Amino acid sequence: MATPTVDKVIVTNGLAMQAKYGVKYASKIKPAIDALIAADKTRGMITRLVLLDSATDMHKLSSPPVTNSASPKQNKQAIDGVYDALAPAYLCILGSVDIVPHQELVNPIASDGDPLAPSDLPYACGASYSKQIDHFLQPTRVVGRLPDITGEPGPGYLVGLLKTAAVAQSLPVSAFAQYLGISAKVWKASTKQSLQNTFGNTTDEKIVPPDAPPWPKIGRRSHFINCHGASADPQFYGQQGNSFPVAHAAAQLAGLSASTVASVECCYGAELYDPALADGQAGICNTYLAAGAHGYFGSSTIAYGPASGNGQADLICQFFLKHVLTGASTGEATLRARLDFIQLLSVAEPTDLKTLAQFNLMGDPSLHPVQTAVHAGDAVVSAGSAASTGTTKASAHADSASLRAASRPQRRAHLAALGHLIGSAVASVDSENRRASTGNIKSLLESELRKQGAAKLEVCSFGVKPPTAFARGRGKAKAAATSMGRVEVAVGELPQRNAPFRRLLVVVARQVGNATIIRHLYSR
Amino acid sequence: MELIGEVRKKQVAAGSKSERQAVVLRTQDAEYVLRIIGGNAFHDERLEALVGKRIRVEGELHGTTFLIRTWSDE
Repeated sequence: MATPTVDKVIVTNGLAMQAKYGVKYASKIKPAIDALIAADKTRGMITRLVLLDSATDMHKLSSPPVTNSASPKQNKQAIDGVYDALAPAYLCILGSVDIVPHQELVNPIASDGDPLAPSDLPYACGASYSKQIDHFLQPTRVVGRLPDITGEPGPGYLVGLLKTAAVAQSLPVSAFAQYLGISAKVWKASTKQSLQNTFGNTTDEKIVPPDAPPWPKIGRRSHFINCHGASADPQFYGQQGNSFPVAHAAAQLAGLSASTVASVECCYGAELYDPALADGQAGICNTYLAAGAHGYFGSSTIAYGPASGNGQADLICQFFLKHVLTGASTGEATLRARLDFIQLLSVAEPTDLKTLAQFNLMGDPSLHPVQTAVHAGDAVVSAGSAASTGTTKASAHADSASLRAASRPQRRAHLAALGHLIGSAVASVDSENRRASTGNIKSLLESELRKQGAAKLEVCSFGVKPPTAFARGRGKAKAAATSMGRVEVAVGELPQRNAPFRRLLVVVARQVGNATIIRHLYSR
Repeated sequence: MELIGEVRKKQVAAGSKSERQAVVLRTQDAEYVLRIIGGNAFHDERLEALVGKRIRVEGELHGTTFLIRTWSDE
């Protein structure tokens, strides 16, 4: 018997849920899941719950069940099996990292203090289990996570998030046109550029200091935040010199609107930490979702951006919000943001790889915060009525939800193709091929550091994997790809003289044929 | 858990959006960024006052950050 079409799959771990919530999983959370499935049905979407640990459920899908809920490998293999069997348009991971873990990807620049970049990116990719980020440059799936609170056994929080998803409705784009933009003062120019690119104006940029919370305009539905953040910390910070005043705090979010969408560049901005580590205060991400936010895009770890202009975190966060504003679901906006980011890279360098891995969507990925524009005359006509009546009048649907749903399969196929193509076109540093630099290139990089008065901290070398598109190619294209050689990276510390805080200079050198391309990157 | 070590200042998160001079605890085996639970993660005068001292801290280890509940001179 053919498996019925499934639009959205909710995956979770039943045993882990029962261990966390006891009988309240069955009495409180399961009914809320059922209510979401029923609500999706009224929205024209078939949603199915899959328990990754259920041998019966997973056997039916020819997938290996999860026997150790904490195992990233088992969870990746199980979710891949579910996806291959059902090919849903949306994959919603239900629960925090103590229910379904992030994938523990290795950070290629672990000297920054993060040995791993916890990530849901691998769940969005067809590539098999690995800890290497560069194995996941071809995202093709629409994935998000509806998290509960790590370590917190009360069911109310997750029931609330499920209810938010069940009652969510799209709003006109005008409801998202005004924004709350918050920036550390040291990054105000970069944030201004991001806001201009996303909203077409910078009039509402709040700069910390001197600006400070609580924010009178917190009720606006579009939030873009570029501040400092720290691990297991319910606050973000501004910066001026050696002053780091609080810029945003989980305890000061009263007035948030339901259906808010937040794009957050801050380090650890979407870390799902146990509130026991912070005097019982849940993180800003968890608090946004509790207030009814429809999507929160943020980082699990330390994030990167250039000294001036936009790069890494600035870009992927802009891309996410821009796609949401055009009417994409939060999940589709996440996939498109990842693809947009990868598309910009000719060679994915270490900080690029970490950026791609660390930014995750928190929220039901099927929610469309913004209504899609409907063009005059556009309509969906069922095959039966069109064939039988020869007219579009009888049962034509011209609403944006119907149009969106009807075109979803083709949109997903297009996105999957884009993911394969874009990912196969980018070369990447090979994080398993790393060593100390030697010879003339080492001397050159050390010379570049000296020119800037920077004290050497590290000079290392990464092998480069050519684009996989050329893996079976021949001739000049392949030769060009394989001549990329290595990426050499020198890290030096600049004199503090006129800077308000210590700063680093990173010199990146790439040899292409007989030429050496050198880039100078400055730390935030 | 408890740790004993020397408090120093050190640049952490080099090259990132969180690059800063952090207060760290160097123990016999490792080094941890210190933060007092509920305190400012980027500048806390209470931690600054401990720089140069050998102290005993009690709290929770979270990644490379040690979250302090109580501390005392060693």
